[in-house]
Amino acid sequence: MSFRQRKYQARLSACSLICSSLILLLGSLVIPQQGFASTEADEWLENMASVMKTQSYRGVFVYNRGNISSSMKVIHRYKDGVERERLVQLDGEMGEILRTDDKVICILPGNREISLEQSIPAGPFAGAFSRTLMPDKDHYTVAIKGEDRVAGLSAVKIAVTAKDTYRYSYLLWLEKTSGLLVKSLLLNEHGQTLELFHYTSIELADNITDEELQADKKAGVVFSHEQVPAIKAPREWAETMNWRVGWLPQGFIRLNADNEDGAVLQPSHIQAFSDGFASFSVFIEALGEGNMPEGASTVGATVAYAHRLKWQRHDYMVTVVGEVPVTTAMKVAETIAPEIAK
Amino acid sequence: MDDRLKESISALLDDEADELEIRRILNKSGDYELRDLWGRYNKVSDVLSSGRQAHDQFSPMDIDISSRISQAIDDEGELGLVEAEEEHGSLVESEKSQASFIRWAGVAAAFVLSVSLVFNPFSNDIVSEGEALIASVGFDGGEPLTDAGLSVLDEPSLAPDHARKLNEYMLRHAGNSVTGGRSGLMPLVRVASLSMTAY
Repeated sequence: MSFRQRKYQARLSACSLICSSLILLLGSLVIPQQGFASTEADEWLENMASVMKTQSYRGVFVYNRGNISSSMKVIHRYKDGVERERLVQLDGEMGEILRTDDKVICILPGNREISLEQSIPAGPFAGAFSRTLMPDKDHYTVAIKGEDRVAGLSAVKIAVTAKDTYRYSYLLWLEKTSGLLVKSLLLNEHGQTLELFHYTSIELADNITDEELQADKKAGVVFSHEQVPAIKAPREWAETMNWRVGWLPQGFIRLNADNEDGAVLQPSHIQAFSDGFASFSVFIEALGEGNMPEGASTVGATVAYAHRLKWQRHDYMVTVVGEVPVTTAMKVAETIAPEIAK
Repeated sequence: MDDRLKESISALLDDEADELEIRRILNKSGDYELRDLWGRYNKVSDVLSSGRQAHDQFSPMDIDISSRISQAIDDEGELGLVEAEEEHGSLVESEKSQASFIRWAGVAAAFVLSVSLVFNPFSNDIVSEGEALIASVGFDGGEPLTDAGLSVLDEPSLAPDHARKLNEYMLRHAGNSVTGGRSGLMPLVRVASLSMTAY
C-alpha cells in the first residue's frame, strides 16, 4: 500500500470513528432522556396544546411580521366539544375569519366570503400531530427562561430552540394560571425576530355568546361565496404518476401520506408536512400564467419558494410554502421529482 | 463514487493529487456526493487541527477523539514517509515545474469545491452563507438582502398577479395548518394579516 493510500485509509477510518462515536454519544444522550418523566417545560407545552383549544377567551393582540403590524380581536370558545373562533381585523379595511373546528371562512372587504380547504384529513398520519403542538426532542430543546408580565398577566417564558438550521426557534409566554399562549416570537438562526404575536388585553371567559362569534354582516347585504382557486392539474398528468420528495428535514413527516415513508406525493398536487411545531405545504402544478417568479418570496416568517421543474417535454412549477427557512424550502422544492408507478 | 476518486480527493487535501486526478475532480465538481465528501474530509481535518469545534449548545465534534485520530494518521504518516521517499526520490527541475502546475491546479480544484460548498444549501454548516447567496441566484432582479441574510422578495414588492398567487398559497397552507387544531391561532393570524385586497 502506498503512502497516500495509507493516508486515504486513515482518513476513511477517521470519518468512521467520528460517525461511530457520534452515534454512541447521541445514543447515550437520547436513551436516558426517554426514560425520565417530562420536564417542567415540556409539561407547560403539553398543557398549552390542550388549553389553546379548550380555554374560552376574548382578547386583543398585535401581530408583527417584518415591518408590517396589525391589531386584531379574537374570541375563542370551546363548548360541548365544539371549538369556535372569530378573528377580526382592527386596522384598515374590515375583514374577519370564522372557524368552527376545521372549517374556516374568510370574510373579505367587498362582501366576499372564501372557504378554506384542507388537504390533510385523508391519510393516517393526519392524526400524528393532531390535537397536539409538541416539538420533537430530537430537533428542538425546550427550556424555561424565567417569568414575565404580558397584558397585565403573569407569564412563564419558554424557549423552544431548533437544534439545526432547517427550522426556526420560538420564545413563548404562557399565562401562569391557565397556560394560555399570550405572546410569542419566531426567531431565525441569527436570533432575529421574524414574527411577533402579543396580546395587549385578554380575558379568560366562560360567558361567550353565539352572537359574539357571528360575523359582522349588515342586514340585507348579499355575500358572494368563493373557493380558493384549484391548483391546476397538468393535462398530461398520468394517473400512475407520483411525485417523490428527495429530501426532507429530519423529523418532518407527511400529514396526508398513504405510505409509511411519507415521501410519495399523490396527484392531489397539495401536500403538507410537519415536525410537530413547524409546517410547510408543497404545491405542484402546470406551468402557466400567474405563476410565482422562481426563487423565494417571504411574508414575515412564511416563505414561498418556487422552482420550475422540467420533466420530459413538460414544465411544472413546484412551490413550497411554510414557516421554515428559505434553504429548507429551496432544498425540498428542488429535490422533488416525478416518478411513474409500475 | 468510486474509491479511486475518493482517494484522489484525499490526496488533493494533502496537496498530493496529480494533474489527471485534479482534472477528474474538477469534472465532477458539480456532484453533490463529491462536495459532501470534501466537506466531511475537511471536518475531519478541522477536528485534527483544532481538536474540537465550538458550537452554540451541543456539537458532535465535542467528542475528544482528535488525539486518537491524530495519532493514527501520524503513525501512518511516519510509516508512509519512508516508503514515499523510497518510491519517489528527489524531484528533478522539470518535475518541479510540473509540480508547481499541479499545486496551482489543486488550489483551483479546492477553490471550486469550496465555492460549490458555499453555494450548496444542502450543507448544514454553511447554511447562513448559502442563504445569503440565494438572492443572487434566485431572483431576476437581484433583490437586496436583509440583515439576516435571508433572500427577500417581500409581499409589497410583488406584481399584483404574483401577490394574488402568493395569497392563494398562503390561504391553502393556512387551511392545511389549521386542520386538527395543531397550530392554534397562528395560521389564521397570518392569513388575517395578508393584504387580502390583492386576492
